[in-house]
Amino acid sequence: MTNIVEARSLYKSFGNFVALDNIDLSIPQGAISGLIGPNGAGKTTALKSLIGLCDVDGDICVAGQDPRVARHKLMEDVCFIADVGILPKWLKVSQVLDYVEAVHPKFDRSKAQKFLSTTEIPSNKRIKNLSKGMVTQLHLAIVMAIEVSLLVLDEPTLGLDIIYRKEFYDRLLNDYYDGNRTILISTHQVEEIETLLSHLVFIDKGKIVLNANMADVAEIYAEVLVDADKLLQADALNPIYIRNLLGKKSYTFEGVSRAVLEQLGDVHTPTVADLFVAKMRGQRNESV
Amino acid sequence: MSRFSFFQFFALLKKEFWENRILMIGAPAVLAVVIFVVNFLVASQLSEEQLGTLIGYFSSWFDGQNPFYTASVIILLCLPFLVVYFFCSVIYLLNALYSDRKDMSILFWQSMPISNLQTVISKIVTVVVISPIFTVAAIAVLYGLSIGYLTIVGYGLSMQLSGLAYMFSAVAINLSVVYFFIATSVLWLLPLVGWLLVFSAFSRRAPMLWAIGVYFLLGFFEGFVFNTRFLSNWAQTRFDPDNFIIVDYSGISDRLFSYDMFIGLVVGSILISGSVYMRRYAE
Repeated sequence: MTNIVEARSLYKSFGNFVALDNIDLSIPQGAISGLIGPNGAGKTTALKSLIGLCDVDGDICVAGQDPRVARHKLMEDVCFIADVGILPKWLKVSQVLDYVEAVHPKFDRSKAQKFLSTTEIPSNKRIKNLSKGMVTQLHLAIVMAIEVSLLVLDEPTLGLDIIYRKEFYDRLLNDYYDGNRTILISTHQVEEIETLLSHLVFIDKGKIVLNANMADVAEIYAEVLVDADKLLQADALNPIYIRNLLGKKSYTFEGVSRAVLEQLGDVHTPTVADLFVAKMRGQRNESV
Repeated sequence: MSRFSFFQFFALLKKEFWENRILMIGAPAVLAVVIFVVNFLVASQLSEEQLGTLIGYFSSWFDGQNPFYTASVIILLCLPFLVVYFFCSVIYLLNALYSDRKDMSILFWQSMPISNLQTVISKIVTVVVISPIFTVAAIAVLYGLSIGYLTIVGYGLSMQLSGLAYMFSAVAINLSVVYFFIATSVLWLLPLVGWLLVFSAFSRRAPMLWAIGVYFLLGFFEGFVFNTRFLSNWAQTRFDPDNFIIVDYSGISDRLFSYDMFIGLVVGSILISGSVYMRRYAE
């Protein structure tokens, strides 16, 4: 499988703060990829540098182009919804559609309108009069009607209530994703997107902590609810994270065979959220 | 530029219009209404005799005049509109690359396949070519209504009104001179346009303070270090009424193809390029 995003040694600092610390990033074509990290980890900087909105050192190739050379050309193949990237408040809904239809060669207005007809968004209202959830719905309607190879979403559901959030991801998966398109979503609300993802990237303090597809994650990582009498054995296998769970201890292991782990207790694949915590905590313990 | 078409560019101009319709249409329209209402109120205070004298004065002044030679008077009558146009354009240019950064909608604009150069050019075309249309339209409506009013009153006083017909044709014919005067004046002031765009693209807040502050700081620095006043002298000659006010087509074309215009266009273009560059990674 070819990679639609290929980045090497990305480095970006703001004064003394290093936002991206020589990271490598590759996203396979067709993946639904989650870029997951705590606030301030460098998610937005990483995404912005991939689409030419941030001056960054290193080599980047997105959809066959260097985003720093001609952002506007890249934007014919890439769509972007920013975390705070609100649509301009003074535009009317119909004017947004007029504008995108005129400037974007791959926009299909009828598709956007079909999507909007399933919502309660009135086309003659100005954006400032829409609720936050409606603005996101509108932006999604526009983006879903543009035939691009990569969709970049930076915390797209930030500040929305649970109904809008669920609907957003349902639509994305059911109405947009077709197996060829690549979606890159950043979030710190892991639980919401974990069932969607086929690829996982963890980022913390400007460094990539994990970059793997979900199938590999299931093979490499395992969580074991260790029996009380096997704790010493478990400790000896270098767990990356230990936590207390219902009076028992739950160990997270990296790269230890399941056959060995099954002797210690109940083995299962950790959820993305648990793995995230394990990797972040593990990382921090190491650096202390 | 891969496939940048007229259709796309037209959409950029429409967007500028949607965003700035208050500056582009609202301001000259309000001015026209204010002038008309004030004139109407003044006229309604006058006695019939005084009004008749006034209409007679207008009428006789324009009577028999070749409309092409009355442009200076028409431009003078338009002066309030020109002043309003100037200040509205300053506000427009200061906000042009600033307001979308402030409300973060720049992230939406930047997610479209439109380059920063195309964006900035659309803003310059707006202020040179598009906006003056609305100002001239407001002038046309104001003088159309005013002359109509004078005609009705004059007719009631059984006056000889052929001069008003001359005045009407003078206004109609000279509106195009007014339009080209505004357009070439903006080009003449392109260094100012570029200066405002630079600070619009650069400032995190208060672009006007930056634009004014840096100008005075540079002037002060120049005076202090070199003991010269090149910057302020140069800026002043741009605004010198002798250079600035033009009342006919030959004056407009003379200015358009003058050496000073060329220098201004070069300086303006350098500053505008700077604003395009700053917009690249604007936050």
